[in-house]
Order: sequence, then C-alpha cells, then structure tokens
Amino acid sequence: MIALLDNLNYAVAMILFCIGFYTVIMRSNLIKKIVGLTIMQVAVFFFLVSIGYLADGEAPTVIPGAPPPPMVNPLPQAMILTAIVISVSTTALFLSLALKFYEHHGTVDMDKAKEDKR
Amino acid sequence: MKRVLAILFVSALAALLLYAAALLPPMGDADNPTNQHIAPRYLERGPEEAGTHNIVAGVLLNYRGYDTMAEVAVLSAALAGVFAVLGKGRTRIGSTFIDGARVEFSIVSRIAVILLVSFIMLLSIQVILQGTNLPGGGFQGGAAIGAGVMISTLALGFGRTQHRVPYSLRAILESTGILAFFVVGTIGVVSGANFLTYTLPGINEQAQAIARTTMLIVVEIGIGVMVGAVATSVFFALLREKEAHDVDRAA
Repeated sequence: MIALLDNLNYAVAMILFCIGFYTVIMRSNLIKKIVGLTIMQVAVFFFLVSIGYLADGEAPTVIPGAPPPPMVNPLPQAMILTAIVISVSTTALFLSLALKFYEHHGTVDMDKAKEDKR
Repeated sequence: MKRVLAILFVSALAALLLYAAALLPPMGDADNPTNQHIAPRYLERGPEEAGTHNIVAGVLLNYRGYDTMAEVAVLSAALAGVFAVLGKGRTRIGSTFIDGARVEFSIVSRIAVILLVSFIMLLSIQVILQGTNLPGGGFQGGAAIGAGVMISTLALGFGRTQHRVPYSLRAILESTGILAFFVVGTIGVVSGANFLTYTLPGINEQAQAIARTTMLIVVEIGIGVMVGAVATSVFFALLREKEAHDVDRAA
C-alpha cells in the first residue's frame, strides 16, 4: 500500500485504463466506446510519461553555457509526442467509421441497430 | 448479469495492474533503470550529437528519425482511411451543420475569433521554428494550426474558412512531412553520409553546423505544416452536409 502511494501516478494511470476498458466493453453506443478507447490511450500516455519523471528534474532543454541541471528523461516525451498526434488521427478514423454506421443504421447504438435488423 | 461479470473482470484487472504498479521502482528516482539506460547519454551528448538544444527534438528527429518518419507515414495512412470512408470532404459551401445553425455568431464574437486565430497562427509558427532549441516543435505547432482552423470554422462557418485552405492546397501540404524527411535524408545520402544523419561530409565544421540546423528546421517545418493540414482535412471531412444527411435519413 505504501509502495502504491509512492507510485501514485502509476496507480492513477492503471485505474484510468480500467475505466476506459470498462467503457469499451459495457457501452453499446459507438461514440462512448470511442471515448473509452481514448481514455485508455490517455492512461498509457500518462503512465509512460510518468516513467520518465525525475524528482526536481528540469525540462530537457539545454541552455548553452550554463551547467546542466538534472533533467527528466526525454525519451518517453519524444515517444508520446508523436503518439498523441497519431491517436488524434486514429480517433478521427474511428469517428468516421461511426459516422458511416450512423448513416447506414440511423443510430450509433449497436444493440438498437441489431434490433432494427430483426 | 453481463454487468456484474464485467465489473468483476475489470476489478480483477485493476487489482492485477495496481499490484504491478506497487512493485515498480519509486517514481522519480534517479537510480531507476529507465533513467539509467539511455537517457544520460541523450542528455549529456544530445546537443553535440543531434545538433539540438531541445533534447526531445533531438531524440525525435535525429536519434530516432526513422521512427518519426514512419509515424508521420501513419498519420498519412489514418488520413487516407478517413478519406476512404467519408470521401474527401468536398461538401458544398454553406450547407454544413455549422453554416445552418439557428443562432448566428454575433459580430463581436466573430471579430474576437479572427483576432484570436491570428495570434494562434503566430504562436504556432513560433513554436515550429523554435523547436530545435527551445520547447516546441513541428507536432505541437501543427496541432496549434489545426486548432486555429477548427475555431475559425466553428465561428465563421465552413464556407468562409474553407476557401482559405482549399482542398487542392491541402492535398499538397499533407505530404510535406514525409517529403521533408526524404529530401533531407536523400541529400545526406547523395553527399556520402547515411540516411537522416543530418551531416554533409567534406565541408568545414562551421558550415556543417549551419547545414545541420537548416536541415533540422526544414524537417520541423515539414512536420508542422503536415500535421496542421492533416488535422484540418480530417475536421473538414468529418463535417457533414445538412441536406444530404436529411435526405439520407428520409430514404
């Protein structure tokens, strides 16, 4: 339990991930499913950026001439930076598929679309 | 029943993940394996090896340039997917939900939005250009460009924004990121260095530094313009025509 308090960021990321996962598996509304997927993505970003954190670390930007202060790990930041932009565009792809689903079935709810078919 | 099962499953997953999180080394400790592995090398020798004072940009463009190039390609692929599903967003002017809104934006808020968007665009240009040495870079600046276009569309309507960034222009801008990577990489290969090392062998050190900074900034600008254009195109493609939609529903 104490160890979990040290790693509060990790714990929050895990709980966020589970909230997103629950949303994805339980909601039949496609838009809500996409929101759940986005929450899961954000949880992973949060976890990875937290891994690179250094207590009292500065942003990883070197000022020429000055002695470098302790800086946070730049690697997760660089990875997540691209991942955020990619996640925005893939979310747009999900949303466009949901839009087509709506144009076809007249609803974004998967259960309702199934009932209509019968 | 399904709900209970789902809650049980998700709780078990949460317990497992939290147990794993408790076993990880304490966050922010300088002795963590993640902070010991490769980060010290990046932080110590980044400015000299990658040519950027902003180490994140150095990792992104130089140390892991191939990775970033492929991620930019993924961006193009996602955009191609949106276009394949929805069409290219050639909606008729003045027919979207935004243009057909019942409540018009007042003149005050429209002028305020025009002012705001001009400052957002200035900010994004600065963020892109300072990316090699200060916090910033192509991805962030491009996202700001996209946000500016979206705000402008919401306030001024699709028609008035769209003719400033027509499809024919965006089609070219959407490929600038990969093009910049390929051009810069190929210049390096032609002059005898490796792909994407941002070096030109056979010139003196001072010219080398200038050439490297120029190449890095060219790639940053390419990425920034591309991300902005992709965000704009995706947003425009997701806008639907009002009448066409109503006709679809009636049929």
